Amino acid sequence: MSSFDAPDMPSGQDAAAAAEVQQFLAEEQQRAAMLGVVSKLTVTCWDTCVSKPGSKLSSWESDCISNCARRFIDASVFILNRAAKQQGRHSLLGREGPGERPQLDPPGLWTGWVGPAAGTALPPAEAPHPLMPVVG
Amino acid sequence: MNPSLATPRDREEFFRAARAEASDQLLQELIQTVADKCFAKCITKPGSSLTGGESACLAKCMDRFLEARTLVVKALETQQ
Repeated sequence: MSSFDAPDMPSGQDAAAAAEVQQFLAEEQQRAAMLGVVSKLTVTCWDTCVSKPGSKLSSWESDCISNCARRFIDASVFILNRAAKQQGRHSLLGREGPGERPQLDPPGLWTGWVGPAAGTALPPAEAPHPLMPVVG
Repeated sequence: MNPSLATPRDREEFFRAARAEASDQLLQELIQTVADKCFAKCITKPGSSLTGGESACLAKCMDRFLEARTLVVKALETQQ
């Protein structure tokens, strides 16, 4: 966990400065997410493609790893789209607006009903960025 | 540590330090992953010390793993 505590932002904070910090945090969060995918994929594809490490990666191993990464993304997109269809919505995480009622017929294949997950009225909270200023 | 973000210089320093910390964290995780994976591949019959063969295997494994990671990054970059 980060050693940084909440940065002090004086109450008279310039709006442009606050935007700069928000922008930075958003970029870092996106970068972290991307790197998370890379790390996970590297492990998965290493397990799939490399049995015994040699003095260099064979062309078979190299192709396998590249294909593995690309097909994993393809597979994820395929699964998400198909699950969304089966669930009965455009988006698997679709959130009804204040005036809408959850559709009950036909029920979503993945949860038995169509609507946001029980207990969530808001978009799923993203893990707080470790450097995000803590209020209070 | 409570950095002030009042001045542009303060913010620059904060961004720089934050990125460095994120980079350190990434490196730490990567090393841990390599250690786990390469131990599994190379140390199949743990003896009373690390043999030359095991060390050589670990060295190769580290290098190959990093190459694999580079391939993954490239594949994702060129993915539509």
